[in-house]
Formats: sequence, C-alpha cells, structure tokens
Amino acid sequence: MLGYIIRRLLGAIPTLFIIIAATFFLMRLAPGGPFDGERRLPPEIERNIKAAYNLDKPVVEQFGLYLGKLVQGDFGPSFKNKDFSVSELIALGAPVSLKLGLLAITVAILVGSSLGVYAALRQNTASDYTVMSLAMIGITIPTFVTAPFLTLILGVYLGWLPVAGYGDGALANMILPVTVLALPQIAIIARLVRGSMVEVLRSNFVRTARAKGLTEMQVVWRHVLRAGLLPLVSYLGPAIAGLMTGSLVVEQIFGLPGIGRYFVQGALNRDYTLVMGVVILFATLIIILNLVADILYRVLDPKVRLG
Amino acid sequence: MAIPMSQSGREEAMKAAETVKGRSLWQDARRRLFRNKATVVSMIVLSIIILLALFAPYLSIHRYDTQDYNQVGCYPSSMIDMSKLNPPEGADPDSAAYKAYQQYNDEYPERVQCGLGIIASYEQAKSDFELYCSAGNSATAPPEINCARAPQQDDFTHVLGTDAIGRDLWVRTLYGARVSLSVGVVASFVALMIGVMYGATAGYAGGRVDAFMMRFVDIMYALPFIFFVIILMTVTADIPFFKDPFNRFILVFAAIGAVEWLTMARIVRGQTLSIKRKEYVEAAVAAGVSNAKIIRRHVIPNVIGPVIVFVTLTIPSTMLAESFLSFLGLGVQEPMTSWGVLISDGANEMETKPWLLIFPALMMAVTLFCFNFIGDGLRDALDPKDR
Amino acid sequence: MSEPILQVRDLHVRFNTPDGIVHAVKGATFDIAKGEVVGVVGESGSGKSQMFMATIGLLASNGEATGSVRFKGQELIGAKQSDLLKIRGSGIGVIFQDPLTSLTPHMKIGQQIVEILTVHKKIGRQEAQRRALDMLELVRIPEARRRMGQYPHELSGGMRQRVMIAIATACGPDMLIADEPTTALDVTVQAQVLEIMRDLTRELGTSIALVSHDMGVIASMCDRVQVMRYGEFVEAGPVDEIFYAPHHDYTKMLLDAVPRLDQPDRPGHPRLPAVNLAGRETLLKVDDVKVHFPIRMGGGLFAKTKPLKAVNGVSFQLKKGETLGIVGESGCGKSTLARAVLQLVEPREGSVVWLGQKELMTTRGAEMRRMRKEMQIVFQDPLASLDPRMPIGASIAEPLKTQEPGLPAAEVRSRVKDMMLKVGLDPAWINRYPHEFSGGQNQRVGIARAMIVRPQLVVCDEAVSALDVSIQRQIVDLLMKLQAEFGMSLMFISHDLAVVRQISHRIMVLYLGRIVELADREAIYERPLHPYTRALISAVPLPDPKLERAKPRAKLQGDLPSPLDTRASLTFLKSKAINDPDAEQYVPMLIEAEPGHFVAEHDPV
Repeated sequence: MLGYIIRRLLGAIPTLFIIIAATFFLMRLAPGGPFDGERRLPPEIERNIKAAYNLDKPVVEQFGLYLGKLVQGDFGPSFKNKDFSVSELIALGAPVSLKLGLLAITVAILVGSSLGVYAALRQNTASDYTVMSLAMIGITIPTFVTAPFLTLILGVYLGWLPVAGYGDGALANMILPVTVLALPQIAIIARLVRGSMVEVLRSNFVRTARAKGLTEMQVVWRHVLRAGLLPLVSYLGPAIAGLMTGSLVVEQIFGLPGIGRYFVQGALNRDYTLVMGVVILFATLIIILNLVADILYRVLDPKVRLG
Repeated sequence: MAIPMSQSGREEAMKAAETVKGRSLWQDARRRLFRNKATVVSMIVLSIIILLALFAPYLSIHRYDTQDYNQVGCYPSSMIDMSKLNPPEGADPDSAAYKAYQQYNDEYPERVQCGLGIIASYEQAKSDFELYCSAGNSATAPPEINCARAPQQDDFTHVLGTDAIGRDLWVRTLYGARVSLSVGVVASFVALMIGVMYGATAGYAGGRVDAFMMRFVDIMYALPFIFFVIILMTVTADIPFFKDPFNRFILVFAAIGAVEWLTMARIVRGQTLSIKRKEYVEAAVAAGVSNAKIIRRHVIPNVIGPVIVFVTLTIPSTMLAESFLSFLGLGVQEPMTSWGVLISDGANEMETKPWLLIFPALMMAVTLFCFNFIGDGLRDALDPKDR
Repeated sequence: MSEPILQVRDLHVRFNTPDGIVHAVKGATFDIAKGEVVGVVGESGSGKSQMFMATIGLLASNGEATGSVRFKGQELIGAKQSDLLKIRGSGIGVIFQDPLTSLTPHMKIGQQIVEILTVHKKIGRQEAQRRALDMLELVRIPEARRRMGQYPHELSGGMRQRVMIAIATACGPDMLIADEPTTALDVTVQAQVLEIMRDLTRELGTSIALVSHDMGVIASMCDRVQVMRYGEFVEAGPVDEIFYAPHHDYTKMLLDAVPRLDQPDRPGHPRLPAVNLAGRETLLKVDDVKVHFPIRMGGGLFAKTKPLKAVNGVSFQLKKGETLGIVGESGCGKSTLARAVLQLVEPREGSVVWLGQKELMTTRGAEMRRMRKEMQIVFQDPLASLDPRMPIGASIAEPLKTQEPGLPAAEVRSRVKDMMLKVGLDPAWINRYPHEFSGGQNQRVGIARAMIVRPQLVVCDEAVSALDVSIQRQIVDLLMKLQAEFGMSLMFISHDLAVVRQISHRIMVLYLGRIVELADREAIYERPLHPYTRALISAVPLPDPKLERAKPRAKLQGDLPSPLDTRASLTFLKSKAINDPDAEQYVPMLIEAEPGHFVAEHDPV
C-alpha cells in the first residue's frame, strides 16, 4: 500500500509540472500585461515595476525564478491586488471555498446515493421514474440557471433566504449556494448509484444471499450496498472537479469571497500570479483527492490488488 | 437445425434459394428506439427547435440586433403601436423629413406590403425610407415596396417581450439557439474526430503505445480543464485575430472540443480493446485478413454504436460549456448572442424582468433534455444486454 | 415410502418479457421423498432451473408461479415472505452453478457461512464461527482456519463450490437444490465435489434435487430422474429404468447423443475411419513450442515479473487426414498451444514446420496471411466468434474473399451457398444475422467459414463445449462427415474426454503446459500409464448407473496448483522437485513406453 502511494505521488510530480508550465507560458506568451489597462505610467516607473516583478527578464528565466519560489511555498505577490501576496489572498478565500465545497460534496453524496438506492429498490415503479426524471432535470439545467431561479423564488418572492453575500458564513447564507452547487452532482450520483445498484441486485451472489433466507433489508445492507456504491468512489474525483467548476459560477452569483471568484477576476485582469496560484492549488487538490478515491476503492474492493 | 437433403433436393434448393432478408442489429436498434416514447417525443421537439433556429431570420419582423428605445423591457406579447415607430434619429420634428416620415408611417400599411416569409424586407423598407428622408427628397413620393401581404398588427408583437435595450427576445433566443446548437454540434465533432483517432490508435496498437497514450490522457484528466479554457479565452481576448467574432467563435469550438475529446478517446479505446479481443476478430486474423481491413470491417462498425451514444451526450455538455463561458463573459460577443449570454443577462434583471431569464433558460433546458433523452434512448436501443 | 419432503403439483412458471409471455414451466408435478436424490435433466431452456427457483420464491421480478408446492406439508406458492425466509437456507439449501459470481465478493468466506447460521439458529457469534469452521472441514477444504479469513476471489473454482456447499448445508436443511453444481468445474474437481455432496447428504439424510444437463452426473448421483423438455416432463422414473429402458423418444435421443467414454463407436453414428497413419505425409511437425506470458507480481515500487508458462515445450506431429485430440483441464494450455501452432499468439518460441519444408515461426506479414488459407480455426463460443453486424453469408465469405481476391462476386456467393448446404444450413439464410440463430446453427456457420477455403488443417477449440448434447452430437457428426469428404487434418481441443475419444485418432493429454501422455485412442483409454491420465479418465461420470455404482474412484486430491509455482510441473515427479517456487526445475522426459505411446516421467504410483 505504501509503495503504491509513493508511486502515485511520484507520478503526480510531472503532472503538476506540466500544469504549471502550461499555465505559465500560456499567460506570458499572450500579448498585453497586467499593467496595460492602467493609466500610462512614466517609462521609468514602469521599468521599475517590471523589474520588481521580474517581468523584464526572458520568459524562461522568469519561469525558473517562479519555480524556485514555488518550491519554497511562495506563490509570489499578486499583480493586481497590491499589498497582498497570492498566498494571503488564497488564505482569505480558501476557508470560504472549502466550506462551500465540503458542504456541497457531503450533501451531494448523502442525498444522491440515498435517492439512487431508493430508486433502484423500487425499480420501474412510479417513485423510480419520479426520482430519475428529477435527476435528469438536475443534470440538464446548469448551475447558472438554477442559481438565479432559486434565488428568485426563495430569496426574492418568498423572502426566506438572503439573496446573496457571505454573511460571515451564516447557515442561511450558505443554503442557497450549497444547494445550487450540489444539485447537478446529486443528480449524477443518483443516476450512477441507481444503475450500479440495479446491476448488483441482479447478480448471482444476491440470489445466493436471498436463498440463505435473509430479509430484503439484510440482503441490501450486507450484500448489495457495498458493491453498489463502489462506482460512487471512482466518481469522487470527477465530482470534485465538477464542484470546482461550479464554484466559479456560484461564488460569482452569490457574491461569496472564495477562491473561484479570485480566479475569474484574476483571469479577466491578467493577475498572472494569482491565476497560477489558484490553478496549482486546484490541480494539487484534484490529484490528491483522486489518489484518496483510488485508495478508498482498493480498500473497499478486495478484488483489486494494490499493484 | 440440420436440414437433411438428398442430392437432387440440394440442387433444387440451390436454384430455388429465395434469399431470406435478415434483420440486422441496426434494424433491431431502430425498432427499439422508435418504441421508446420519450426518445421519439424528444426527437420531434428537437427537430422543431432546430428548424426554428435555422429559419430564425424569416420568422419575425424583428432583427436580433435592432435596438428599439421605444420598446425597452416590454412584457411578452406586448405589441408595437405602429404609429410610434421610431422617427429618424436626431430629426427635427418640424423638418420636412420628419413630416415625410410621419406621413410614411400613416401610409405604411398600404405602401409596404410584405409577406411573412420575407418579413426582413420590412427592415429594408424602413432603412430605404430613412435614407430617402435624410437625402431630403421629401417632395417625391416615398419608395414603394411590393410584397405579398400587408403587415398586420400581430406581426409586430414581441412574443417574448424585449430586453433592456429594446431587442426582441424571441428573435434573440432563436439566434442564441443557432450559436449554442452549432457550438454543441461542431465542438462535439471536433471531440469525436480527435477522440476516435486517438482512442482507436491506442486501443488497436495496444502495449506500450497504448500505455503511453493513455497516461497522457490521464494527466490531462487531472487538470481542471475548464480553467484552461478560461485562461485561453482571456489571454486571446486582446489578440486582434481573435477579436473577429467569427474567429472567436472558432476558438470557442476548439477550446471546448479540446476538453471533451478526452472522454471520447477513453470510450473509443475501451471499445476497441474489447472488440480486439473478440473471437470474430481472431477469426478474421486467422483467415488472413489484413489489419486495415479488420479495422474497417469489424472494429469500426462495432465501435460506432457506443460512439453515437456518447456524441449525443457530448452535445449537451458542450452546449453547457459554451453557455458557462458566455455566462462568465468569455464566450461570444455582443451583439451576437447565445443562450449562455441571454441567461446571464436575464439573471442580472430577474427581479424586474423575469421573462428575460425564464424563456432562454426554458429553451435551453428543453433542448438539453431532448439530447439526453435521445442519448439514453439510443443507449438502450444499441445495448445488446437489453436483448 | 414416507411422506414426501417436497410435493409439487401442476406448477406453472410464466415470464412477462417485452416479446410477450414466456411459459417456462408448464404444469410440473412430482414428489421428492426423504433422503432421495432426484435428478432433473434437460437441455438449455427446458425450464428446469426456473422450476426450482419458483419453488423457493426466487424467480426474477418479471416471473410468476402458479400451482402448488408443498414443503413438509407447508404450501410455498403464495406463502408469506416471512414464512418463506424461514424455509430458505434452513429447510431448503441451494447450490448454484457459478461459484465465482454466486459468493459475495466483498465478504470473507467465514462471514458468509456465519451469516446463514446466525440468521436461522439462535447461536452466538463464537459458536457460529466454530460451526462454520467445522463446515469448511466437512467439505474438505484444506487449511480451513486460514480460509475463513479469505475472500472468494482468492480461492479456486472447486474450493468456492465447496464453500457454496458448506453454506447450503450449514443449517442442516431437509432438502438441497443443486442447480448445475459442477458444470463450471473441471472433471477431476467435479468428481471431488460430487463425492462431498454424496457423503454429506447420505450422513444427514438430506434429499437432493439435482438439476443437470450432464447424463453422467445424473447417473452417478440420482435415485430417480425426471426428463424435462420445453417446460414439461416427458418421462420420469427410477434411474435404472430411465437409462436402460427409456420409453420416450426424447429420452432415447438424449441418451443416444451423449458421448460415451467407454463406447466410442456406437451404431447409428459416423464411425471414425481407421487410417494407417504410418503411410501418410506429415502435415505439421511441432517441436518444443513454448509460450510464456510475463505476469506482473505484487505491488511496491519495483514490481517484478514472473513467466506464466502457458505452453512449456510441447512437441508432436500431425499427419494428413488425422485427428489429434487435445485434452486437459482449464489452464493446461491447450487453447494457447493451438494458437501458437496457428501463429495467433505472442510471444512464442520453438519450431512449427509445415509439410516438412516451411518454418511457420519465422513466416510473417503477407506471406503468413497467404499461408492461412491452409489452416483455419473454429471457436468455442459460436455467437462471439461471428461479427454481430455482419450477415452470416458475409462472415462465411470473408476468408474466401481474402484468400482469392480475384473471385467474381457470383462465384463467391454460389460457393458460400454450397458450403452452407454442406454444413446443414439453408442457403436462403445467407443474409441473416447471427443473433437470429441458435448456438448450434451459429457453430455451423463457424465451421462453414473455416471450411470454405478448403484448408488442410482445422483447429476446433472447444468447438462443441458450449452446445447441448443433442446439438453437440450433430456437430461432431458433421465434422467427421466433412473430414471424410475433404480429408483435412483436425486438432480437436476439448475438456470433454468422451467427445475427444469419439472423434480423434490420437490423443494428447496436457497438464500445466506439458504433454503427460500421447497415444492412439484405444491405448490411452484402455491402458493409461500416467497417474494424471488415469485420474482424469476415472473422474468422468459415465451415463450408466450400474457402472457408476461399481466404479472404483481413483481420486486426485486437491486442486490444480498455480502454474506460476515452478514446483507444479513436477506434481507427479515429486522425487525430483526442488522445494522452491521460483527455482529452475527438472524437466520430465517423454518416454515411448510402447510403439506410439508416449508418457511423461512420473513417480511410481
């Protein structure tokens, strides 16, 4: 197991390097820079600023310098948010995004898998069809539609929930964003789990379990659930990537001061270092979570040897 | 069952041998597909939407980019008061031109006779007349345009209302459909091409080549890819070449296609691998059939099913990606529009003008629904497990 | 006779499918007495399994059972779920066909036995653990204590089936339903499993309902037999009566179709023509062929590979017009050997010489493709070996079009139709698709495809193993007829010794990638020299109850050892084995014990 983890972590290094390099050069090679939009600066000052950010050096050298800093855990200063380093900005945004993301994934897994199991156990009944139709709606309607709709109904017309804002992470402020973020994942997970549960319910070992004289409850609980929920584990990686993408929109719509919003703003005004920082952070997170999911899968399925 | 046959009977059978037509798997699949009601309904609805998008310019008297400041933020099915058509901009109410315009307005129904099918010529007539007015030829009679039928009051209705700068929402939604659907189809096609070639090569080559190629896909998978698309769209925003709306459009296709090909490559590779191991491929090898012919005769026809299913499911996800980019302000640029742009605009004004959000969102949702139902239906129809 | 354990009266089973109602069981009526073993025999689709699934209420959700089933006087059809639960597992135990998929993959063996005990018996965990261990020992699982903590995938097929038996009998049921309990197993393992079932039930006085398609298994196990076809019983009676004095034509046909290991040439079937092999030209000379697949071992940073010696130095010759039978149990390398001869598998070494001149091992590319006109293959799974999207005519024509590209389309068509007639297919079906046909028909298509280029060598890789006996008989007859007409050589691979004896001139027995014995068919069955061959032959159940009862059983203990363990190759020559799983081991020699009868070196028995 340890060997496997080490091998996977070593394998992640080139992946991360490619991500960093691709982002870096993509942003540097494009015309226009972080200071173009501002009022024209005297050439001397502009030179000084560029020197201060190492922008006057060749791109490859800049990359080397950046990597050197990065290894020491320094993402560099933010180009646009003066007086802030990227690390500080991330430290500001991370708790918000993390809270949002964790709540959303928890809700998605709990609600999604319960719905999936429920539908599978009542296969081809009205409740199955209802759940699956709802799931289809969840999958087809994008986050940026559900967000304004729910806000319109629950926030504006009914006035039950605050329309936007973080409100220092008050529960009421989190309900809408978390719901909106989790909805598509709930739908996908429900479909996934239903599909695999139906398959498992048909398998021979379930017939054996029934032939033992177990009640339906015991059959499902002991023999079906674990095998039926396995595909969910391998879906965790993509689910988290999906949540990250969704959070870009959700943070924007609900005005939450998370990392996703920094990223969109950073990308729009060329805040190179900020964008780099966020991409690296997200890529690392995705790689680690994928590894965790794989390990979990190996723990849950005795058939897959660690090899 | 064996059919015992004497020698003479055999010759007779050879001669008589009326060939029985077999039912291929495709025919079976089609039969199953058309038995699925949700899929059939989806196909009908989707065809209607596609036709509407195709013929968008001929379906309304309004244009997608005409701003009518007299008609800002109208409710759905509000009507233009024909007497209040825009006067030429900056015209002096006492000028001859203005009067001529007024006169033209009064005489309008008689003078301009347009059939619904070519209603765009109404705009032409209007601009001709504006030209005529500004040229100061107020003395001569206004130009006459002959069309099939006089426009009715109904023709001027804003079926779905207008947006904040007086553009007709119905027309804009249809134009949005054009953009969104073509992004969906073209980007899926890009994904299909790259994915099939890459996946089939990896799957058929096998061994080290396969391992290396799939490792690359795995790495790409680990990237938060939408982030790259966002970066790509922002860094190219200032390059003059990509400022051209058409080129930008192509860039959106390419960027989204580049995200979606990964999954396609995986699916095709998996299918190719499993077909390569099938005994009928081994039988072809044993018969001495060359590799190229095996791929053409046995691999491709058997991979096509799952690929078709996946393409139908890729189209909605590329449409989502496009609208996602447009929502963030990175997709198509004004005055061109897409469903993402419309929804984004609508969301900004949902408290006062909810129809601006509801209609484009509904249209998009219905389309995505249709694609998903068709995809599901196709999968069920093509899946041999069902038999 | 006492009160029957199970009374079935007018049982009907219907399935509601998209293509309409399928009436799977049509009014079955029978009794099973205490301690009695009742066999239900029939071909696939006869409804024999569904009948018993209906008995214990385990039909698929679209199935419906009507009629009456009484177990110890209690009505089961329409019984309350809670009453059924009490009977399942404790009153009636079930052994299913496929032991790999029938055990829950994520539960340890021990847990799975403990579970049934705790559900039905009021005992604590400790006690249940202890009893589960007893059960494993009772079904003769070696190292039972260690096995308790293992998962099903870590056990071999035979072990898993024994675990199934342990589960089914754990609560001492009055009746066992055994649904094709040994179909997925090799013959030697089958013999062991049947033995265990026999002993266990005899001790406990358990009744058994044994569902099987194998007349041999039925003959060796049953007191009474019910013959079933299309959901109906066509004949029922004591085992001797069914086997020695059958009344119904279907029963007679079934018995006639079953290949007999002890009677290879029976009247009414094509006889294998005696050929003088000595005078014939050698078609194929195979010398020291090896196929070693590298297998990645273990995890860790630096995983190493071990060779899996699927074929490990096999030499033989094949004469023109001769049929060589190749038998062995799963994993003995018989299919790999055939593919190595046909140059269809990598990596291979050794030498395969065609007609004394052409070395096939070094022939590649277009030249090899042209050579393939002379050597064709028929596969095991008829449906999987045909492209599902191609009409069968196109499948049959493919080798012809490839090998003779200049042939006009009309000529191809007429040759295809001609060949279809020869293999017993209606030429009018030329444009139909494989999924429209039965397994037997598809196998005829496969044979037509192989024969259309008139090859000199045809390899039949388990070509009849997936078929029902009656169809099997027809295909074997067809192959013999075609050989008589075209004079091709056959390599006939099968795990079924009886079929091989019927069709082959000479027979080769493979064990873990090596030949253990090679002789002509009379010699090998009448005077087997190698202990493995003897065990194999004695393990085959004969469709003859009296012979079965009288038969002494030369049992082979345990399962096939792992082929990755080099000691395994010396299972029968332990005296020369080095006790190290990775060591280079002694290679047993093939000795010519009498003219034409080769046997591998082995320890004296």
